Amino acid sequence: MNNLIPILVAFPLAAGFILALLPGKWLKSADSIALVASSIVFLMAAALYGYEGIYEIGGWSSPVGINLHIDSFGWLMLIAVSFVGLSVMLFSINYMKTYTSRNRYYVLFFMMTAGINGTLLAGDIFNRFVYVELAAIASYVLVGFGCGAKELTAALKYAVLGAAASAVSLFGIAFLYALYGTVDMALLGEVISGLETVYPFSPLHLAAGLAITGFVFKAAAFPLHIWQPDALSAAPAPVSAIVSGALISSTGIYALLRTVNTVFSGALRLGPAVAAIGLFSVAAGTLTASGTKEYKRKISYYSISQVGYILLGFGFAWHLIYSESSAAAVFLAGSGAIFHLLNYAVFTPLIFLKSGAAEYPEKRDRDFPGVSYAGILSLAGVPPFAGFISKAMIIAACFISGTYSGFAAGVIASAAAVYTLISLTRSNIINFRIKRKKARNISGRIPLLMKIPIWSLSALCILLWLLFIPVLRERIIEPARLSIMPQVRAGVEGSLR
Amino acid sequence: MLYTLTSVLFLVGLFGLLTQRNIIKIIISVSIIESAVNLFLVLVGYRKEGLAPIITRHTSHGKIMELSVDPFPQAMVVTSIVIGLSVMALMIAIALRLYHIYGTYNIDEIKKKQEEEKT
Repeated sequence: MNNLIPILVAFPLAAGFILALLPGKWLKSADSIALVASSIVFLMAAALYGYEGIYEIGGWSSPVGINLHIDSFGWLMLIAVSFVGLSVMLFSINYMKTYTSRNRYYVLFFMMTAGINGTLLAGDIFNRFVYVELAAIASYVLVGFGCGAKELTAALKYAVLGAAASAVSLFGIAFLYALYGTVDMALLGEVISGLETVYPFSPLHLAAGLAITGFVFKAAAFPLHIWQPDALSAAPAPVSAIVSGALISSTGIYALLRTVNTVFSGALRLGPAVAAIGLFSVAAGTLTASGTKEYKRKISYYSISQVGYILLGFGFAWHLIYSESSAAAVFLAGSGAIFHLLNYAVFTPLIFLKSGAAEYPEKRDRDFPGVSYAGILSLAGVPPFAGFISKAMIIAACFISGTYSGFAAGVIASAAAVYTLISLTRSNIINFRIKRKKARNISGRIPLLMKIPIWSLSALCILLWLLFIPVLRERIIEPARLSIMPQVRAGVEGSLR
Repeated sequence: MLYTLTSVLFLVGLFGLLTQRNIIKIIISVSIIESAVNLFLVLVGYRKEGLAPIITRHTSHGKIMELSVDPFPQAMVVTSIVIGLSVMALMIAIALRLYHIYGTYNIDEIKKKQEEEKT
C-alpha cells in the first residue's frame, strides 16, 4: 500500500510523457490512453482509503530525505480531486475535438494531475512548492489553450501574477530555512512549537506571511483573487472546471491549511487571520458578482465567495479550539468547512462543464449559458442540495461561538449567503424561461460521454448529504477534521465524539 | 545585510511589476523578483571562505561538515531557477502571440483595442 503513494505522482507524469511522445499515426488512441490513465489514478486514490503513512523516497529518512505522506484529510482531497479529474477527462474527450492538437491538452492535463497529487502528498514545504509550480505552469498554458486574444491576455495576467506570488512564497520558505535549518514540515512544526517566546513582530511572522501569501494567491482568496475571474471565464470549459475544482482546492486551500496547521500552529494563532481572509473573500466575491453580467464571470466571483466560506470555517475552528466553552462550534465550523470544500469541488466543475456543454459544437457561442441547476442551487445553498447544510453549519458555528467577532462574521456571512441565493436563483429562473426552448435543441446534440460527468456530478450535489449519516461521518469527515486541527486540548476534542 | 539587500532587489522588481505598462518590462520585473529570491537562497547557505561541499580524497567528511557552505539551498536554487526559466519562456511566448495579434506590447493599448473590438 505504501508504494502506491509515489506512484500517484509518477504515474500521471509517465502518462503525460507517453502521450507527448506518441507517434503521429497513433494519435487517435490518445483519447483512450488518457481516459484509462485518469481512471487508474482515480482507482489508485480510492485504494488508499483509510491508509495513513509516510513514504521515504530512496529510503532516506526524515531530516535528510524527502518524504511523501498521506492522512485522512489528504486522502479525502485526493479522492475528490481525482474524481473531478476523471469527470473532466470524460468530458474533454469530445469537447477538445473542437481544438487542434488535443494530445498536448492531455499532456498538460496529466502534468497538472501529477502536480496536484504531489501537492496533496508532499511532506516537505519546498517540495510542495515545486509540485504547486508544476501544476501552476500547466494551468497557465491550459488557460491560454485556445490562443484567442482573450485567452492569451488572461493567461499572461495569470502567469505574471502567479510567478510573482510563487516567488514571494519561495522567499518565505527560504526564510524558514534560514531561521530553523529544515524544510520538512513536521520537523518545522516541532521546532516552531518548541519556541519559548514569539514577539508580536518576529521573523517568524514575516516568514509565515510570505509563505502563506503564495497559497492565498493560488486559492484565489480576497486580496489576490484578481486573476481568477479572467482566467476562468476565458479558458476552455474543461480547463475552468479543473482549475476551479481541483487546482484551487488542492494547491490553494489544502496547501494553505496544511502549512498553517502543521508548520505554524504550534507558535502562531493564525486562525483569526485565515478567517478574516475568508470573510473578506465572501464579501468581495458576492459584491463584485452582483455587478457582473457575463455568466461565467459571475460564477467565478461566486466561487471566490465559496472559497471564502471554506477559509472562514477553518479559521474559526482553529480560533475557537483554544477556548473551553465552544466545543460544539469547533465541531460545526471544522466539519462544515471540510464538507463545503467537498461541495465546492463538486459544484463549480459541474457549472463550468454544463456551460461548456452548451458551447459544444460551435465553441465560440458564448452568449448562451448552459445553466446547471443542480450546481447553481447547491452553490446558492438551497435546502435539498448539499451546499445548504455545509454553509448553514459554518454560519451556525459563527453564531453559537458566543464572541462578538463571531457574531459579526455570522451576520456578514449569512447576509452574503441570502444575497447569493436570491440573486442567483432569480437571474437563473429568468434565464431559464427565455432560453428554455434553445436549451432543448442543444441538449440533444451532446454525446453521451459528455453527459455522464454532468449527470454524476449533479447527482453528487444531492448525494453528498449521505456523508452526514453518522456511519459515514465517523469514518470520513471526522478523521479528516481531526487531522487538520491543532493537536491541543485533546480533552475538549475527545468529549465531543 | 543579506536580508536588506535582497529585500531591496525584491521591492525593485515588485515596483516594476506594478508600475510598468510594457509586457516585456513586466516580464523583466518578474525575473528580477525571482533573482532576488534565488540570491537570498544562495546567501542563506553562504559561509565566509567556505569550501565547496564535495567530498574528495583531500577533504575528509568531518572537514566538510565544519568548513563547507550549506549545499541544501544550492539544490533548492537549481530547482527554482528551472521553474523560473520555464515560466519566463512561457510568458515570452504568450507576449509574442499577443504582439502578433495586436502589434503592440503596451497593455493599455491592448486593453483599448479589446474594448474597440467589443463595441
